Amino acid sequence: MEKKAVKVGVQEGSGAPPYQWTVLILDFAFDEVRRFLNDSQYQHLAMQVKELARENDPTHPLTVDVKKIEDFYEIRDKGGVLGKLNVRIFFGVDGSARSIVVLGGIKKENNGPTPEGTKIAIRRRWRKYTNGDYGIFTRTQ
Amino acid sequence: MKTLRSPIQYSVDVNEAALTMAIAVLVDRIRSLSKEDKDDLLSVSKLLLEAETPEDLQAAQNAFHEILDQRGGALQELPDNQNDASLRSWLDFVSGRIKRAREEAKLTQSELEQKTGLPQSHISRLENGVHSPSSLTLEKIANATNKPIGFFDSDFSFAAERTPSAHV
Repeated sequence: MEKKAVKVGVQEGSGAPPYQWTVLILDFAFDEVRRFLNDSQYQHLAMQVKELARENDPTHPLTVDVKKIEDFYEIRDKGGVLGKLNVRIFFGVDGSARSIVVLGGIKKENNGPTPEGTKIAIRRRWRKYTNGDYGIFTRTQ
Repeated sequence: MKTLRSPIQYSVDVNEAALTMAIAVLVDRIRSLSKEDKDDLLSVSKLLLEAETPEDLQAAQNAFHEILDQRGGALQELPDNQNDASLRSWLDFVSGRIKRAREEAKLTQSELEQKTGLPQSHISRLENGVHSPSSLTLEKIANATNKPIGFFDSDFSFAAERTPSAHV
């Protein structure tokens, strides 16, 4: 019998070491970050998000630089495989769904604060998520 | 007797009519926004006027378009892709550097855990090339082992620009 690949996501309870949170990403947020990240850089940042999913409290991790912005958070990372990119990845934490929701990302020219325009856009995305405007997620498996 | 308008005059009239129509569509779009989106649009409009850097201006423009677009979106799971072949050369490089830095500092993984606050299991995964360290993690290890941060990536960056597969 032909085996079919099953697409498995980062789900609470899976993984080794096990994930304590499920990770969701907005489809257009994925497209947004892939415009400025190559495959290696995307994989590196996906690993950082997965690492957050292994933490009991993903907003205060030991291994990744995370800052609170309003009701959401940003991962700050640079150097290494990112080269000269200074990247910010934005996410919200939905405790009731035990989910980390990736809301978007930008590359910055410097180490300065996240632009106000970006904060407004991400705040709006988080509001729409909490309003259910992006639908209710159903698992792929 | 009919008055013939010149082609230039006619062209201007068409453009003005089109512009009027476009503004009407824009006004209609703004009126249809939710109160929260109208408030956000107002905030972003102020940012467009006050932006001090090209980066700030670009961010405000992106937010402006996103609010007006009113596009939908959908949630998807982040794939748990174990095939990180595209990262392999970086993982091979940095895992070797982390292990070398720890050994040259004469530290065990447990001692490095105590000095950095990073779990020993995490350090083990880093040294085995299973996980890619963040800049925060590399800073902690650099401080604990008395290595410059460049020890962990400058050679990689240099090599990556020339021969992507040559650094092990």
